Amino acid sequence: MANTSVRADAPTDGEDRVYHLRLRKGEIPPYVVLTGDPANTEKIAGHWTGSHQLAYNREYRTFSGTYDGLPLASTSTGIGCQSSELVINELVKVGGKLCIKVGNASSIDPKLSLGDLVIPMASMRKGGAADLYVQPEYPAFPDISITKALMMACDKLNFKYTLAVNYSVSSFYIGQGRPMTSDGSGYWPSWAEKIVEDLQMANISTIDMDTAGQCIVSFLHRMRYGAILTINNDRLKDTWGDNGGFDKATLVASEAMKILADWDSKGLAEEL
Amino acid sequence: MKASVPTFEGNKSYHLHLSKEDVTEYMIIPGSPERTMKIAKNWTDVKEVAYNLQYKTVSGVYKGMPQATTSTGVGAASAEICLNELHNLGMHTCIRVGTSGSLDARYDCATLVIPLAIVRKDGTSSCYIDPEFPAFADTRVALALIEACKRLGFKYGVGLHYSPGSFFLGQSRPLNEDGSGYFPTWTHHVIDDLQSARVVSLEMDTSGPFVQAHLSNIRMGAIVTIVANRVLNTWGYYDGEEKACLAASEALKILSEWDKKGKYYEE
Repeated sequence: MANTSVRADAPTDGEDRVYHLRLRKGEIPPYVVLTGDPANTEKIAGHWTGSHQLAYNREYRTFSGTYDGLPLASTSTGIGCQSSELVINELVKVGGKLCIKVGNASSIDPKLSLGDLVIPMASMRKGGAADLYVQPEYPAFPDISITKALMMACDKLNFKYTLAVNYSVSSFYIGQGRPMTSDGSGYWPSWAEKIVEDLQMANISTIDMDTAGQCIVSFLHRMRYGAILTINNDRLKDTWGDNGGFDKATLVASEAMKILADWDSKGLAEEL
Repeated sequence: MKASVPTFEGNKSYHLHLSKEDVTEYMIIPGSPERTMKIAKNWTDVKEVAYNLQYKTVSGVYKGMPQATTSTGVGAASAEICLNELHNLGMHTCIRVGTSGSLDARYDCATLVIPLAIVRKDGTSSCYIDPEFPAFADTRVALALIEACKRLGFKYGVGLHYSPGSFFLGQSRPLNEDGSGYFPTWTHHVIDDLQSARVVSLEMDTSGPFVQAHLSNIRMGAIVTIVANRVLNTWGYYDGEEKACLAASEALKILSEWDKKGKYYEE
């Protein structure tokens, strides 16, 4: 990597690629599916035609392909809002305009089962890069046209979905009320015991680590953003399993992109 | 009578003076008591049900659908009482109709704005839950309001809104016209910073009820009419309030139909 002519406030790889994602402007289409795990970018692109890997650096991997005639990309964010912050920033720089996150979430809602699809109406935020951008009272909410397109895509594919409030927290263990060790020894403050119970009392249905921060950072970048989550673990029944949910969510996101591209071509999406 | 659960005349709600049969499951909640009558102008079979303190309740029928409205008074603290008593009487869906300032040149006076989410500085919702809990409009209610505006041919916008529990410093207004008096440096940039954070409109009454609604299993949305634009420096009500009132009744009608179908959009 060249060490010359790279600005510290807007780094590149020295060959016109954005620093972390290693993508050049115009290399990706405007519609991008986000997911946490780099392995899942390939899984998502497996539902498309002509898919190929564009870049893979650290936890950031990008594929592009075509779904029903529409060019799409999938990019991994890693875990949490901190690693997502720079993904959103760099995607904007290379031409991304609209993102749908396909993610896994824990359920704390007895009405949800493993593999169910959840479309968050808004997220409660705890921690992450968004805290350094705006005040705590600033809401994490998705673009309403994307949410509507996701609802319509679920109906079209005949998949049940639930509109819910999600909790995004920058901790997997203590922040989600999980002990640090399997026998429960170690740091375990009294309030950690009450986290899940209090979230349930607030009518929160799911927990993840990324959506709230991605909502906010995207919104501030004028990147349109929505999310669909699949339940891959149930904190109430203490069970774990995907049950085909991730593949369903991927199809919904791809189908929603088609609906959105159609609306965008006709000027029908809501302008925020 | 218990101090923890006060009532009026034995079985009516303490502040609103209402019984279950006085209200509907779908309601409209304006701030001012006078606006309840503007809402009722779109109804038949209008009945003034109760009026105590700032809480006035009127019921009627809109296009065959029974609807009711109760005023919340100014601010989230006054609305908290109203929302909780209406919820205990069976309300599960509500739309706030209000007036608002605009920070966006696209939304001049008499434009309707549907807040999708709100930066919550109301002071009441912080008594209920952490500041990071989002004040947001229920997606179904927001989609019904958008659909209502489209059907009625009303110009509308959607966006991020700001609800401060203060008219002066919270909205970067000096306490005195000549700028003298308490005016700390951090208040000078409130408006610029909100605009930079993509906030399009502001008023005092909506974020508290949004948070409380979700915590109480109420679906809530809001529609506000712009009466002042801080960018264009314009002021005027025109027919915005009447339009917002009609859009709210139409949206409740749409929602009740969508609820029966279980689909929250038109094919």
